[in-house]
Amino acid sequence: MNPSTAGNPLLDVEWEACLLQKGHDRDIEAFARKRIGMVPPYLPYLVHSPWVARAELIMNFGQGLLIHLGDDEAELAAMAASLDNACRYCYATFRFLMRLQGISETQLRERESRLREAAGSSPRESAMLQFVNRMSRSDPLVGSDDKQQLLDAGFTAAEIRELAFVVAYTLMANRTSTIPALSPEELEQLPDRWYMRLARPLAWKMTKRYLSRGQPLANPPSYEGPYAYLVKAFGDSPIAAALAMVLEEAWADTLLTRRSKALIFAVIARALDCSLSGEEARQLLRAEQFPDSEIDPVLSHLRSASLNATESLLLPFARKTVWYQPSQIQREAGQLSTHISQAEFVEVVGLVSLANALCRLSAAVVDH
Amino acid sequence: MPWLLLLASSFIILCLLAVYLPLRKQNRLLESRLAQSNRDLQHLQQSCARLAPGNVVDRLITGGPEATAERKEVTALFADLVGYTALSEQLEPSLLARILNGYFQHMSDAITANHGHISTFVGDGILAYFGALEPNPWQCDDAVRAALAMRAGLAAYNQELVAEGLPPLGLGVGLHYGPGLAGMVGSNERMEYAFVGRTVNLAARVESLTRLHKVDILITQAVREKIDPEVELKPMPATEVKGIEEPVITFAVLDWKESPA
Repeated sequence: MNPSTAGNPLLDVEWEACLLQKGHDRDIEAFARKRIGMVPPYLPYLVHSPWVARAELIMNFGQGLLIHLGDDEAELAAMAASLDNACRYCYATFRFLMRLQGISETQLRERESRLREAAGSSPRESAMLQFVNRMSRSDPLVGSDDKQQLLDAGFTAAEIRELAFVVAYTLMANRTSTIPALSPEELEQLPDRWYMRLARPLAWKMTKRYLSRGQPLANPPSYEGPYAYLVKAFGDSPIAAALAMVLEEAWADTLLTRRSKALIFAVIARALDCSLSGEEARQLLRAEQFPDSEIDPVLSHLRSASLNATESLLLPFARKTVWYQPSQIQREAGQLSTHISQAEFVEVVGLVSLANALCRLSAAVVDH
Repeated sequence: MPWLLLLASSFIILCLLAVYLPLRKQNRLLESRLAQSNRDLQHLQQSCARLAPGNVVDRLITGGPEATAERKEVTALFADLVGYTALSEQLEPSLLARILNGYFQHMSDAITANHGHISTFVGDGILAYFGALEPNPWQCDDAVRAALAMRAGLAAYNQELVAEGLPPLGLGVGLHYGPGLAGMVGSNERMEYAFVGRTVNLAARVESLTRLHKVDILITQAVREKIDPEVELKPMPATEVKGIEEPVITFAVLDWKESPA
């Protein structure tokens, strides 16, 4: 083990072998290059379901989505969420990015001990880290008390909304990397490779070119699809447009039926006890002519004669993605992947990740 | 004289190196120890997460054991080996320990595979909870699934025992759903994340009724109201149990009509 890599606190987290094969999609790769200047290492694994791959890029908060929350705070919050979720892949990515910025291994370790104890270098940072952990664990979902603590620590309402989005995006990314067990080893070793040490200043300069701050939208999206209330909650923020685009693409994809998607969202809302997302999912089920009398029995027992074979597999799996140990969910995902195609598997991973993110985000940004 | 200057500067450089190199070595050693302790702490936190919810661990660190207490609705499972006393008198201690360990392993696998959390092993008994570590709206279904998996696991284990010429084991399982106090309890010397209250006592009492009713899995009315109607049950006569005022209505779990999801 390299002496500096050894500082990574997640190295001992059990991790199964990757469940996905790499794929190619020229359009998505071109989209990635345009947006972040490169094809990120996770992308080839996700292209089997194009909307999932695109969602990761569209919701990346570093690319023009944040207007109020500082980049440093957003990065720290994302790193804290990844640590709390024990996502070796995302955590290695953030560690790599920080090393790229010239942060030394010693500084990084000092930052990591603050993250672990949710004790920031200021009352504002401490409040932020506590909020991140609360939203990540969601036991129960964050509420007005949590937001009040952020307000007391000096956050504005707009900053809180953006912080909640950053955490939600990270929780989604954590799941899209952890569930299919994307291999973190290469990323974990990368900061210490001799060529990376040499190329560090240049690599950071190139990466920085693609990072940008957001601007209020002149025309907020007129999105009326699933979870429109969440899009509306972001008003003229560029986050509203990103959410609308991702939701539209997720629902337009025909690999899994809209009914199956709504069922997955409903199960996760029930696990998290999120009435807002749960009601939205119920309305989506009604729109798909799912019998009203069947909704409660299905959600109460995750099985029913009215479910098809794929749905009977997906619903018990979906609930397991709310709280998990990485190797445990990876083994469960491995079993599921033997029953469905690779494209369907990636779509399921994307859906459960998105549902987990949006339920938590709903509780954090919508007063209900 | 340039050679003298060179000699002096070489001497100074050597002196500096003599100071710097051990310091650097010590620094690296300290860094590596810090990294190791960071990883150990992370590992400890992850291990704790398997024993108690993450926010309970946080509250324990910041506010002490009293800060971890909260009211919860949980399903308690109490399981006991039937005929253990007779078995313990017949077998050698080492053989008995091997049989018991195999039994506990099969039962633990069945419980944890169904979202249960083993609180403690009490002699040959097992106390497990569903919905204690994290909110679980499907906790009663999970507990019944776990009990059925324990039944199947024991049947498989008994085949191994019988093949070795050893006596088969019997099992009694009691399930009850209800409120209680969850949190870190115990003495300064020994503390554990536990669920305390009538729910646990009643699960244990219901387990003891399995011998009376000659069945292996019994659930209370509270569990029955929550579980999948596809679970095949047989009502048992209401029975008085110690410490409970009203006679307790129980149901024997026969089977799950369709294979559980």
